[in-house]
Amino acid sequence: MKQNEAEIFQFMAHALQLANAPYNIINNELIMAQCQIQVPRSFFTPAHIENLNLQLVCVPELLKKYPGAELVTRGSFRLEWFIEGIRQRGQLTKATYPYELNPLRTSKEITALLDKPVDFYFERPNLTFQPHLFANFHLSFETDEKFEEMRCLSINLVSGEIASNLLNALIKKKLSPQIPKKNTTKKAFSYREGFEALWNHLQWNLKHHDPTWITEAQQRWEQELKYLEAYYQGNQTQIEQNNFYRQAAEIYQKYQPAIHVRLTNLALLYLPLITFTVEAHDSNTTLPLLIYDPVRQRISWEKTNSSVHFP
Amino acid sequence: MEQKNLIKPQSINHLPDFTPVISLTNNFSSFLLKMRQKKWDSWEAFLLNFQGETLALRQGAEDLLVLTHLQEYWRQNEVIPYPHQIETVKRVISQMHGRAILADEVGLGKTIEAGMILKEYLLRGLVKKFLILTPAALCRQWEVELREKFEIPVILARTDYDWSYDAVLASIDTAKKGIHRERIQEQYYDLIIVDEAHKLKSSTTQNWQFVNQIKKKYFLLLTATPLQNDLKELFNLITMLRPGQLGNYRSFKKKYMLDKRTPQNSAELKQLLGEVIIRNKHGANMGFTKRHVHNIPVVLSPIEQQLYDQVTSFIRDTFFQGSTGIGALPLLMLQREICSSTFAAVLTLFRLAQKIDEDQITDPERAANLFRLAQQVKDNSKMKIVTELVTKNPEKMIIFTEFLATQSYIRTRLEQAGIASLAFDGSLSASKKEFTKYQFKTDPRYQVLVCTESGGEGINLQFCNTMINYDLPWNPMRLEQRIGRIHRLGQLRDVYIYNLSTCNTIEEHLLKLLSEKIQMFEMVIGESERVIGKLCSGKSFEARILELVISSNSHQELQQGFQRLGQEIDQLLALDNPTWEEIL
Repeated sequence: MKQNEAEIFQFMAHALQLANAPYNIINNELIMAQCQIQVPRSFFTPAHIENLNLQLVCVPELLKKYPGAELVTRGSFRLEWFIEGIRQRGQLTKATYPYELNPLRTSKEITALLDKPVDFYFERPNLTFQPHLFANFHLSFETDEKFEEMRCLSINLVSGEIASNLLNALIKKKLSPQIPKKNTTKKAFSYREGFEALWNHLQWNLKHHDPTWITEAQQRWEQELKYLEAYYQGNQTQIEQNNFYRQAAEIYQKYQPAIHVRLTNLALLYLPLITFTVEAHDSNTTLPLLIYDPVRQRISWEKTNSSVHFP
Repeated sequence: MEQKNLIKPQSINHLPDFTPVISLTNNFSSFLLKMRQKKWDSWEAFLLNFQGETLALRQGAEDLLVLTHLQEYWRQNEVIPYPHQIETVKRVISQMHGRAILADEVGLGKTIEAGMILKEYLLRGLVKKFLILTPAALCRQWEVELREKFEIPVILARTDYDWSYDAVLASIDTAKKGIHRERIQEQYYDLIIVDEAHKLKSSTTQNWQFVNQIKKKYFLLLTATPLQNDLKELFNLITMLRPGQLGNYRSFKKKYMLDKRTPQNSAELKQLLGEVIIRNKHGANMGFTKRHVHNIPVVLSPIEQQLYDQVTSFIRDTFFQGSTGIGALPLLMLQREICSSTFAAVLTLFRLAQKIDEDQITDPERAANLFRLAQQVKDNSKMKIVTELVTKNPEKMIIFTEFLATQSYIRTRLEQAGIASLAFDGSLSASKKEFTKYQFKTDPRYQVLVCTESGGEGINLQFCNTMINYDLPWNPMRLEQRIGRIHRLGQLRDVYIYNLSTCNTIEEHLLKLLSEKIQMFEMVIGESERVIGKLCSGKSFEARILELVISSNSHQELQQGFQRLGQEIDQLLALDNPTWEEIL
């Protein structure tokens, strides 16, 4: 199975699992499932539930091996059907990245991240969970042609830091639906303020997006306009001029670039942050708090106004 | 291209803004409300939603979504997209940016191509609002094809309110009427499709001006004959599609027209046309099945022959008595009717006999006598052969005739023979036609569909593979249209055509001419267009036949006249002068 075929296969299996639909995977090639579909109210009141038996394969060659099976590929009706169903789920989620504080283990994790030998002692650790707002955006770049992208942005609702790659670090992790009962940091920004910040950041990003698609559309527009001008060449009557304006506007409308953004889903995630008080081997030096972010595998030192030495 | 006198309106002198407009299509507040209502879902659902959205992303113009989206549906419904159709869709979308004339020869699936393009744009999200304009007779067929082959439901617009829908199909005659016209022209359509677009060949017509005024992004024109009589027709069609593609008419005429029918700078013109026209032609690999043609001579009974001869002589004499008040058209009609059946001619003879009082014909008794003679004919020899053919062959059959009276007679005689039939003619409403077609296809009781030309126009009956031409139309294009009902892409079996021709009548010579000289029945459907196009450069083919009839005093003279016409056809076909085929 090619990579995209395997991806679709796994996606359908997960979707069936999430929907609690009975299904069976044969030889890692065929999915046999029974789904319930709702026949719309326009036909039955109340809506009628019917069983739908599915036999799904993702590799064309397997159709011979499993006669009666349905081929599911990118763009196929059945995949769209699954995607449409899954759009009703996962629009909003709240979860916590589980992290158990163990000073010895945590100090080892930090030590592994430092690029030089540790010249301080680990003292008291403190674990807090900070709320982050994640937003997935569907971007549609349109002229007379169209292409689409997905973009995931997140904002730390305590510090206001915006990140564009944090979902990748979480995608394979199992998050807990429970919210920590203690150690959660109070958010400094409301959800709305957080979202506004993400939206502004996205707009800034889009303004600096690769402009090739716009340039190409503009070239096609110029070509059309050149033809239009050739047609109206020498026609000076008012009616003809009006027609020219009308058709020029019509052509512009066709090629005018637009980016349509759709917010697909949101997540409120509590991510751990550990602060360590540390003491330098050299007792004359005062060190600031060491901050460890286990999700990003990143360490930093607390910013302070006093003159301190950073190892 | 010359730039002097170029209109450059103020707004076009500086480039309009090409900075993209960024818009958020949904609202954060709705999510906020769900947060307050604590409608949280699992982390796995969140990730799966993201994965689903990623799998649904449209990446570009390379691959056609319509093929993968409908693959299963088509497999179940035995719809096969042909390679030339797929290639056409790709070209229209990626090279022509959605503005094209689909000018495939008859029977190659222009409707399927247009349907695929529409579905592709719908799947890509580039088309939301579209309008399809067709002749009234084809509306229902379009509606059914879009629904059954592409799962696209459309509204068949009849009332003022219907124009507010996004997916609308309408007859061009309805759409161009007062209030409808205004409603259409105040909207912006993502796609307009016009079927039988050769009806928009003149820029002075209401149809052309109406369609030209509609605001649209993508635009498809469908016609098998983008060029019929004059190169200006082609210029007008292309101008509506892409104004300026061929410059303005003055420059086009100067550069590309030797006269109105002869192009010059053909290679350059062909290249320009190739940017907006796609014309697939019939070839060996197009997937057509074989065509078996049987010409069946019918000997008339003495009374039928007597009637035929007398009516022909009446027509000849009346035509030469200049002041009769009867034009050539009714006489032409009468001659065609008497070739079809005595029952078709009897009504016309009755009408002519009634005009005796008005003193419009010089020999009043003659028409009345012919009417009385016609009344004595109780049966037609052709019908015996038809009954025999239908009884022996268990397949479903279509019998074509030109006249309603003949249609009625055929059905009565079939009924007497215990054969159930259905009638298909121009008087049926679109929905009744569709129902009749469905009945004929699915109900095993009905073996025969008796069809007139106007009824069968544009209707696809490829589930049936046998056809009887009870009479022959004098216009070869109409014969081509008849055959095209069953011999088209999608026909899986060989096609059988039975032509009935009565001996010692015009039909005998006409059939000979059509089959031997024009080779009408040998060609794959569509090829004959080229031949007929050459032939009908001056007078219509029908007019040439009538001319022969009235100028011949005997059967021998008629035979000689047809021979001369045959030689003329040979010469025409042998000429190797530049034709429209060079540019299309």
